[in-house]
Amino acid sequence: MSTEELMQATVGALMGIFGAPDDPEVAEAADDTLAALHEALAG
Amino acid sequence: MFYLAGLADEPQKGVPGVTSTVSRTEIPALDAIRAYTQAENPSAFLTLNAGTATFTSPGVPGAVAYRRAGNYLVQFGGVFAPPEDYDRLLAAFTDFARSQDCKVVSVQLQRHDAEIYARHGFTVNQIGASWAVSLPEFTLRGTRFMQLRNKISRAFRNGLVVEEVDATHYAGSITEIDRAWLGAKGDGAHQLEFLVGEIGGDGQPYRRLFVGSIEDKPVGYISYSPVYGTRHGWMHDLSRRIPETSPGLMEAINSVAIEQFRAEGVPWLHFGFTPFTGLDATQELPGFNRGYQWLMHALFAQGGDLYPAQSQLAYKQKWAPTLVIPEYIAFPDRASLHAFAHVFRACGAF
Repeated sequence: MSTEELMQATVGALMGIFGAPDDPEVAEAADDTLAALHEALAG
Repeated sequence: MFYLAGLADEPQKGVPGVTSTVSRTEIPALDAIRAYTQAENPSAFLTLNAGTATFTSPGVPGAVAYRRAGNYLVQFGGVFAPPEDYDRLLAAFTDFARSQDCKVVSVQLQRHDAEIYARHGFTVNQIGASWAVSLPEFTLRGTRFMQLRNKISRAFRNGLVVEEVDATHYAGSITEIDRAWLGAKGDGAHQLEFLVGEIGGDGQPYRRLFVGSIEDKPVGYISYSPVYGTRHGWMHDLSRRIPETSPGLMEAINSVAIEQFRAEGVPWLHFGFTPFTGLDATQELPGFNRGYQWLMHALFAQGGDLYPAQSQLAYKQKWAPTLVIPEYIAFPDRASLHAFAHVFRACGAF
């Protein structure tokens, strides 16, 4: 994913947690997305 | 959408009806935030909120304030402990969280706390800022404050009368104002907790309340909570009004409180924490997460449905704050959206 896509995915992942705060898979995927965005921005 | 609010000293002389019925030994968190002020957390008084738990460890002075949300212990502020015991109490708290099968996320850390957490391997990012005005030199004179003065004048021309009151004598009015305020926010709105000021409970004898009335009917109020440390003073904490009463209502109430504080020689008026504001790349600590940093900027720019940071900041900036204090969030391992969301959950936002 591009950095722009990762940004969109990060916001989407945060909203996904609000809808399913106790789902461990949602949590893990969201935190992986944030880590990927960090890597992309660190370039 | 959710609404944060935000803080003094002993019960003050000359405050009507404010008497201390709470001894220091009855509130461990109060002892700790008054004694261990090295982090200079202007919002420390929020540790006394109803529903916020206090963690202490036998033989270790100090306290940690937290609230459980899902499988997280959401810690408010850092560790309120003597410098030589800070690490020990932090370790005891994280051990306690593990014993509860919980993770830790720490919010509203000050720079002092943030550096310690980073040294302990936490990922630390700026989450927003607190704003404060130095009162001795504060004045509403000059073109900079012309609009603000006009708003305040308009409220007084509409018949507003502001006075400092005893909250216990205004419980009914406060409830009525709160109900009207919340009703105007829409069907889904509900009051937030934890990182938001409150009226009542153990902390009430230490707070001050200024109420604005029109034709003897209370239409708005601002509660101020004590701030300890070298930047001691009061925090403009919880503020509410009945919608569509008068423009400039809150500004007029605050202007009266400011004059009262200045007359008493109070050095600082704090406006409290606003997430996503005051973001400054130079304030980040080594190891910060760039994705999370980007997200804070994005939420400031476009996250009004999540938190109205821009309007909150606009109100604070009207008073030309002299101090912007960065505040931090800390994750024990990698930065976590899940943990971040649980700060909101601890506030009752969802």
